[in-house]
Amino acid sequence: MKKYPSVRRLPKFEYIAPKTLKEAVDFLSKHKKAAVPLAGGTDLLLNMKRRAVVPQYLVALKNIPDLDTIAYTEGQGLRIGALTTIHAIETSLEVKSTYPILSQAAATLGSIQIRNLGTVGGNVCSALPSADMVPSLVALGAQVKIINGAGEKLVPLEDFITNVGKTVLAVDELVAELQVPPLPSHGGGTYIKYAQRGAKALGICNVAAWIAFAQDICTEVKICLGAVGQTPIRAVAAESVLRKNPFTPATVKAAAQKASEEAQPRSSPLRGSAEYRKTTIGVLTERALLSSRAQIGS
Amino acid sequence: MLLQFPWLYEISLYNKKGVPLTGSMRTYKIPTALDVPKLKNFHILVHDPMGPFGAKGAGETCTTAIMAAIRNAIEDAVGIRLCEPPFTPEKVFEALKAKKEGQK
Repeated sequence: MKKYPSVRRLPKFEYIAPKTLKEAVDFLSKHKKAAVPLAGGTDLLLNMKRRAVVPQYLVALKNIPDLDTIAYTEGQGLRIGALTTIHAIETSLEVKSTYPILSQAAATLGSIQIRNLGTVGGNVCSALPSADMVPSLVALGAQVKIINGAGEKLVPLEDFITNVGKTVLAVDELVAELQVPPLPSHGGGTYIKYAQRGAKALGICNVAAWIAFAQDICTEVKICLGAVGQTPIRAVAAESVLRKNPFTPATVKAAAQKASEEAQPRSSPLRGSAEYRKTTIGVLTERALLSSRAQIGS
Repeated sequence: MLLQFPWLYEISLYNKKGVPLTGSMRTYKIPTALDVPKLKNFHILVHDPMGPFGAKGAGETCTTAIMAAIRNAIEDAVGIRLCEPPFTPEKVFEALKAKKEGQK
């Protein structure tokens, strides 16, 4: 009989804990695919137990200073170190007062134990379609700061994830930071996760919406759909319905309809039929937009 | 003991080869503290001649009515008759759609 694919004990590996980013990048570029960076490990260690990845070296990043800081400055916006735990984002006063949508999204991820270990860098690099942090970060226009041997570069988060579990990150590169640009003050954002139950479940469909206003006209709008495609999807057509237009129940409905058309969910016995998920994402988009609008006031 | 939620959440699914799809706590979702509403217990005290000193088992006996109550509540609210638990939102969605199409 074929062996049932089960979770087993961790395979053997060597644990490396560099003290600087440069050391870590050097080690990664020397050993290429044999070395895998370890952040919170909530995805990686499970994948190793399933033998989906069997690295020779685990390069732990936690000894590198300043990778887990959250800093907000007026001109530069929010900078979140890649090793910042989800729990730290959820509870950070700085995040709550500037980008409440991020702490809202963080609060929906997994359970308290997972949030204490899991990091925002890990959530982004695991590149799962249902990643809870990604839609809100995309809706806020976040950029990923990548460090490699040659230096550093910035990549928009929406271009960073390319497929299920795939990113533009090369084997010898590391994500150091997520940068959220400063936003106009008349803005509001909402993240809605729809899952089978209140916690510890992957979303059936997720949506993050961010809108800004000037004199009742929608000046900026970003909508990102999660768990309804191979990557989180920017609902560009839905956005263009609202952008530079008045925010009325009719335009919101039209935008939600577009978002529903843009979603490309698969039918899954566990997470529902494609049609159900498409309809639901439309409803959630409408709710997210209305709730974002309500945050701004008149 | 958890009363009603087996009828809303838990489901055993198998793929074409008969391999269980909900074979672990990751896929076989049981409700969390966030999902369970406040429960109230009401006891109807009766003497059971079969039990010692008139005592009666007080475990699963009371769970069976819950499924029917939820099913009837859904019918009362939106007029659809679901026959296959668990009564997930998706099943309600499908039934509502079928109802709408039937009316056309």
